[in-house]
Parts: sequence; structure tokens; C-alpha cells
Amino acid sequence: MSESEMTARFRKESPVRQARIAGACWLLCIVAGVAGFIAAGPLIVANDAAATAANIVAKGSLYRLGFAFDLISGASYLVTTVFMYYVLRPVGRSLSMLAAFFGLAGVAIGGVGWVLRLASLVLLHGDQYLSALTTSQLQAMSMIDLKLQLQVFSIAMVFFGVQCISIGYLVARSTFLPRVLGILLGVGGTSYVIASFASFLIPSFGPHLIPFVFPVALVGEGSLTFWLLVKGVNIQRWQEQASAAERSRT
Amino acid sequence: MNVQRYARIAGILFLVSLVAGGFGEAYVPSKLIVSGDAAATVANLRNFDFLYRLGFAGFLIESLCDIALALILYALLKPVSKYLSLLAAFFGLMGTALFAFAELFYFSPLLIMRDSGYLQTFSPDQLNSLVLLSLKFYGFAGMIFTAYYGMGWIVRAYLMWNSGYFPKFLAVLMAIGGTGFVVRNFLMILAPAYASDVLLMLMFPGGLIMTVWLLWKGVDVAKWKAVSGEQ
Repeated sequence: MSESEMTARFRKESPVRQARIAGACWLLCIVAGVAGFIAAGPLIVANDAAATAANIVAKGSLYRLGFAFDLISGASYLVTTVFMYYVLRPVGRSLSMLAAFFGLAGVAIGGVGWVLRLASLVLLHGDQYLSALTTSQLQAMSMIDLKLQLQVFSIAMVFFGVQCISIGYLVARSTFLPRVLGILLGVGGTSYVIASFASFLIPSFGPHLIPFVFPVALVGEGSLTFWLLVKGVNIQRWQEQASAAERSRT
Repeated sequence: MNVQRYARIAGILFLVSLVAGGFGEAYVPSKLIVSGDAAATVANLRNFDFLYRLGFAGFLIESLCDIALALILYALLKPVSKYLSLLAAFFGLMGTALFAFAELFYFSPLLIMRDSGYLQTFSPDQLNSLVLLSLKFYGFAGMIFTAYYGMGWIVRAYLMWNSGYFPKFLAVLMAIGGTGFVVRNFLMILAPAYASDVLLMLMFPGGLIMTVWLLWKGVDVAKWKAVSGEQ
């Protein structure tokens, strides 16, 4: 294959392939995110700084593994964000771009959580220069740090939620993906936003929503993910909508 | 779009970010931070306050260049694949956003050292510890961006390889540099003992030659036109 054929091949890349990449990376994001939670989540003992610190020191490799999964989850979500932008661009250029920017902001905010994850490891490393602080002070600081990570997660979820609502709207308005998938994703995204605001505004009540939010969100994201991965998009209708959008622009 | 002008601007931004970044991220911290000695580090920060602040300014200039580079490289590589070049730009923006957050911990020692009344509940030793702790956070956090920055370069290297208007050897060098960054990051998290700085240095040959190449040769305009004209 010559160079110009290579580049031509890139450009003719079909929306089905883009949709499949978006679906595959979305699935990877969900799987890695859940794996990260399973690896590191049980180490945290609610409101017991000493026990939590002991867990993180004793099972440092699990804590680190959970961290690595989070990095993979974030990276694959960025890929999904970009490819969904191109898949849905024929439906609405600006809204599709807005959704992508919300996704980028969400991953960047999530990155703050990764910095905080490292902070716990530094605090509990037992270095000499920290000897001016007592062990229980360092453990308490590490606990604050872990709690802040949850807050960061809640903040990022607002942005992901708005992105999901936007993508859901575009999917529902598209002719090349089933409308029900868009509605389910929109409901999932809305539940993220509600749960996050509830956790900021009514901290005693917010956490009780979590057991309901995740199944709803998983149905929304999961169904679209699998559809994209298995079916892609209806290529003929995608091209019709794309050329109609192009005509109305010019 | 005058592609050669884009290439030259990219070259200038690379050069500025290499110098400013090298000063702010390597030279200044290496002069002032004494690993494991909180008191000595605090004394250095007091005595060389302006140098320390200059380091921060260097970082800011580097970030400005990085954001502009993310857009210019997107424009230069878009004819090859608009999807992947946007993806590389997103990885680039993400990397810079993360690094900016890490820089917060570079700045916070200046607040801890200010002898403010509200801090008197901590002993001087404790305050010194907090200063070095903050700098440790900075040191580690400042490395988290490398995974995303590296992934951005791997994607760009792939596009450069297929472009026809960038030399293939440059694509290979940048791919090596990007891979070094990604591997270094995951090793830092999973097996810190193996996270050698040599992996970061792998970016240096590519970055340097890329800078020179963009300033001296730019891109192959005829081939760029051929590829982008087909669109």
C-alpha cells in the first residue's frame, strides 16, 4: 500500500469502525473502572484512619493496581469521547463538540483524584523527614486525602453526566442509532448529576442514592456500548444524515 | 492555511518549552530541593526565593507553549486523520491540565513558610516537614501527566509515520519517547523501584531533533498539499 493510499484509507474510515472503537473503549473504561474499585475499594475502612492506613501499607500492590486501572479507564474514556464526537457530528455539530469538551473536563478533573491517590502513598511511606508529625496525624491526613478523592469523583461525575445527557439527546435525535438507547443514556446521565448534587447539598442523604444510581447508569452506558460494539451504526442512514447536515451548512 | 508558518511556529514553541521547562522543572528543583532534608530545603527556599518563583514562571511559560502546540500539531496532522489528531490534542490538553494541578504543590510551600499567625499551632519542625511533603507531592504528581502526554505522542508519531510530509525516523524517535513516558508512569505506580529517569530521557533525542527539524525544514509542503487536497 502506498503512502497516499494509506492516508486515503484513513479518510474513508467508515463510521461503523469509529462506532466500534468508541464502544470498545467505553467497555474498557467501564471494566477498568470497576476493576480499580474492586482492587482498592475494600482497603478503605470508613472513618478508621489507622485501619485504612494499615491496609494501604500492607496491601500496597492492590492500592497501586487500582490506581493503574483508573489511569487506563481515563485514557480509554478520552478515546471514546473523541470517537463519539465524530459519530454523532452529523446530528449536531456544536452539541457533539460540547459533549466532547465535557468529557475532556471530566477526565481532567478525575486526574486530580489520581494526584490525591499518590498523596496517600507519600504520607504513609514512613520517611524520616515526616518524623515531626505523629503517625496518627499522618494517618488522619491520609484519610482526609482519601475522602477528598470521593469528592473529586462526585465533581467529575457532574461533567460526565452532562456529557451523557448530551450524547443521549444526540443518539435519540439520530436516524442511525435506536432512540431507546439515547433515552436510557440520558436517564443514566441525569442520575449521575442528581446523585452528585445530592451528595454536595444533603450529605446525609446523597450516599443513599448511590446503590440506585449505578445500576441505572450501567444500563444506559452498557446498552449503548454493546450496541456500538456489536452493531455499530446504520451506515446508509449515517451517510444520509451526514450529507444532509453538510448541505444545510453550505 | 500557510502550513510552513504553522511548522515554524511549532518549532519556536518547542524551543521555548524545552528551555523554560528544563529550567523550571529540572534545574531549579534540582538546585533547591534537598531530598529527605526538610530543614535544608526550607533554608534554600528562603535564601533563593526569587529563583524558586522563576522556576514557577518557567513552568507557566512551558504550559502556554504546550497548549498552543496541542492545537498547531492538531492542524498539521489533521489531513492524515482528523479523529486521531483530535485524540492526540485531547491527550495533550489533559496532560497539561494535570501538570498544572501538580504545580499547585510547588507553590504551596511559599504559603506554609510565610510565618502567618494561624500556622503557629504547628512547630517549626512540623512546618518544615509539611514543606517537604508538599514538594514530594509535586514531584510525584508532576509525573502523572506523563502517561497522557506520552499517549498523545504515540498517536502523533503514528500519524507522522503515515503522513508522508514528516520524515519517518522522526516518527520513530517520537514514538520511542512517548512509549518511555507511558512505561515510566505505569512503573512509577506499580513498581516504583524500576521507574528509572532514563525512560523520560528517551523523549530528549526526538524532542530536540523535532525542534531543529521544524525550524530548519518544516514540513514537505508539496506532499502536505497533496494529502490535504484530497480531502
